Amino acid sequence: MLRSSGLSVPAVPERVEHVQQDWDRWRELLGSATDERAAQPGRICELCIPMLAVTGAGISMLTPEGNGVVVCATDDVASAIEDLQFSLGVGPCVDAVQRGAPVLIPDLDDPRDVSVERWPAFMEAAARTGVQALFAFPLRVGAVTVGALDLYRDRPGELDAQQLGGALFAADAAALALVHLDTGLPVESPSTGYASYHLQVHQATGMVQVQLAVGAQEALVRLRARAFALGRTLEGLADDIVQRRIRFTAED
Amino acid sequence: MTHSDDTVGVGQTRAGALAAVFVSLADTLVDDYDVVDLLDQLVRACVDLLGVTAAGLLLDDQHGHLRVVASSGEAPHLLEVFQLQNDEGPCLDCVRSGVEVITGDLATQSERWPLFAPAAIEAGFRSVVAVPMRLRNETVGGLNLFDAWPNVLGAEDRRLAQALADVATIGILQQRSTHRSTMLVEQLQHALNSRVVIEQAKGVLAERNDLEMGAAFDLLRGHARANNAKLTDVANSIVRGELTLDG
Repeated sequence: MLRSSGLSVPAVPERVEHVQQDWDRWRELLGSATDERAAQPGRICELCIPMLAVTGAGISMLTPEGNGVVVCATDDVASAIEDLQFSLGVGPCVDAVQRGAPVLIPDLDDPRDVSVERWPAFMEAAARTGVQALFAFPLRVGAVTVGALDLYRDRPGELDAQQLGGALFAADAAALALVHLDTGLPVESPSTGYASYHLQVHQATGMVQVQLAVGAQEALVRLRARAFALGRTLEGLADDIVQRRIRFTAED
Repeated sequence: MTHSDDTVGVGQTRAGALAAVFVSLADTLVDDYDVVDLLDQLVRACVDLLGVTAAGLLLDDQHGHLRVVASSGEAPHLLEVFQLQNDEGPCLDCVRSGVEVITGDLATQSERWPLFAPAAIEAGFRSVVAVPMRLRNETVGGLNLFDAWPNVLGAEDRRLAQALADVATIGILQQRSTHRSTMLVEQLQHALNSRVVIEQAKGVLAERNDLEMGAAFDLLRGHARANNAKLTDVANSIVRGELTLDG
């Protein structure tokens, strides 16, 4: 089942010479959009194409029940890859989510990751779409996996160290974007990921989770909403929570 | 000062303690270990063996940030001073240059580190030694040794600190390398993400059991040890609500 995005597979630049290990560049690109698309899943996917020299990208969200929902895809093929995995219930992104680690298949004809042997149907179907390399990353808020980022190439080839670092950065930003999707909260600019927050923010997330009897994902949204409403930094609010100067109650 | 003075003076206790630490680290490394647990053991060993006030490990997350992956203590001011070094401080200088940075008395260093020096003094520290975590020609992070006094660690102590920092680097590179060949950036990310999960779990335990963060960590680690489980696995189960601990 293909999305009706009307996009065809875009031509891939032979080699993106100017891709450089430049995190400021990622932050700038994610933070520069003046509209509400800054650091949104769709924009993150689009940026992956030039920044990581991939053909296309897609982001899926996991529902609390463990079902996948495609949030965005840059083209029909990326969309088909996401849909395939959810209909078959197997594939690199499903595995990445379960393992909590990236699954990298630089050449579908010569997969070095033995896990592909467990999904012959997916591999066959993926090959028919013209995909030659596939990389899946779990989107995590600490212990909780909220979705996955899939990148593909229409030619074989590994992500080099720099591209892998970029993909991990994109995954961190995408995790935060998914958590805040539809919450009406402004995205941070320049964008950072959950993993780059101070340790007290993670501790406070755990505390608020218990105070409100919600999951880590919801606790983080409530933390950010409160910090925003108070005009405070997340770090400052987290410190008050850890030092037990502020508590969240069900009425909050 | 010669090395023999040191060993004769301090005697067998330090040599014995040193041997115990390395035996324990070697035991950990040949087994299936939890990387954050290993790094926490390392920073605590630094405090015990080197007699410093506090120790911490900061990793370059390969996104241009230094992040705390292990700390010998839980005090918020300590974490703050570690984290401040994202912007400025001896650890940042050490990671950028790839060489050891010795601050001397921080009271005289406010020009060099206008943010870091006063904050560190305010937190009760007077000197820092930052030792690089090196991998071939790359520096992946730094081991920070904070002291409440302005006197500086001797050359032998700093060599020992470098050896402990090297063990930490090896520990990070060794983890999970069984799956397939993994890249450095992924190994660093894994270690950092484990730290995040453990902090979340400490928050859950601290709130549920009315504990300070240090006690919450002890409860977490005690359960992992008693059940021969990895710290990060236990932490994951706690945050996901699959496991509750009494304490």
